[in-house]
Amino acid sequence: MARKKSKFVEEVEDINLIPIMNLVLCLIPLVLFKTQLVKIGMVNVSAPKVGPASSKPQEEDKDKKPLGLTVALGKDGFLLKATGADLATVFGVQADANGVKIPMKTEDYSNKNGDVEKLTTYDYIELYKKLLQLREMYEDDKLLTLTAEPELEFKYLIRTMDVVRYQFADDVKMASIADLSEAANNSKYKKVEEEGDEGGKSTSTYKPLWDQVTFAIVQ
Amino acid sequence: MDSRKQQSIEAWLKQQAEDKSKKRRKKDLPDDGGVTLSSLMDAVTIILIFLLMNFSTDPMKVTPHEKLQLPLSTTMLNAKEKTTTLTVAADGILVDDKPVVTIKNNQVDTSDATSLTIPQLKDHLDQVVKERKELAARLKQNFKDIITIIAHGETHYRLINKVIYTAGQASFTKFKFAVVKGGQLKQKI
Repeated sequence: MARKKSKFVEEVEDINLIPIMNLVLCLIPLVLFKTQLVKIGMVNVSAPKVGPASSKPQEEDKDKKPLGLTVALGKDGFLLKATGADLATVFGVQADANGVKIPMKTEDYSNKNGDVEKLTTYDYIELYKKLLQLREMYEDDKLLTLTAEPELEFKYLIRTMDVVRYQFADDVKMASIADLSEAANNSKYKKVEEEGDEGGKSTSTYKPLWDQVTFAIVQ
Repeated sequence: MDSRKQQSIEAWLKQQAEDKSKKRRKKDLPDDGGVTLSSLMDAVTIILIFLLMNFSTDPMKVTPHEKLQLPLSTTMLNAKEKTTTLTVAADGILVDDKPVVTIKNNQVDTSDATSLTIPQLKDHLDQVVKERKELAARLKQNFKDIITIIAHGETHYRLINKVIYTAGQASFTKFKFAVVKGGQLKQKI
């Protein structure tokens, strides 16, 4: 025998969403105001020196002359200078009165349309290799002075600081700036263990290359 | 005759209303004809979650625009503390968002073009330092001589040089440059 369907169907009332909607709509402009879609980072720069880039030997350590390394960005490439060493001899290149030049290099660049064009840019990889060589020779030196031609755009100085900040891991391929880009984005840097205070846990940090940068203020 | 017509019209209207009501019940639509808020609620909740994910607690807020395109960098450092900010846009220099000097073609209008100091900026920074020192003294804290420079990527080095020198003259000794984080080392910049 078939059972009769009950006429009393339980009616479920919908939740009144209007007050919640009002609240959420009020929250959106507030949150939107505080939202920053661009992530801002910081690049620290040491207090600049006034005058031409030169460093006097320290009184307490007369035996070891500081390197006093300067990287100058010009329209035709980098120029490496040091007050404490003959860089031409160090790198085994031809001596130049101004220092060691790293000329611009031309490489293939594929633009937005996918067309390959020639792009002349700074040779950041060669700069990195030379600075790594100097770091191995002068382990105690920390300061790198950066200078540029007056009309050079500031973004090139930031790029140079990015390249010279940390030592890349040994397995990083260095054929083009794209390789450095990939390594930097994946934080493929050499690591060093630092012991914590009073027997605390040791922390691992990236091995610096020339991370203390100052700008030379030339009058 | 008229009353019969009236009756038939009323009957027809009643029938129509009943049909409509049946259709509504079939479609499960609310009888009052109100808007369903559930879907709108879903969309708004998703927007709210997205905005909360990008909610910035950074002490410094920079909105890049045409005249202030910050350089890209792979730096891992964040803005940790609120400091005095010096913005060098393509059209002017601002200290703590207050315009101080105008810039034309990467050059500041100063009486002495060869001087490294920008007089208007120096005066303004001196004033800022004085106020900050007074405030720090009242709060029994030390004055923080840190300045954050938010510079347009295409600013010439000469101008950056002058700005740093002037800030140094106004007793700032620690400099930080604001950059856009996570920028790839693109071939063309």
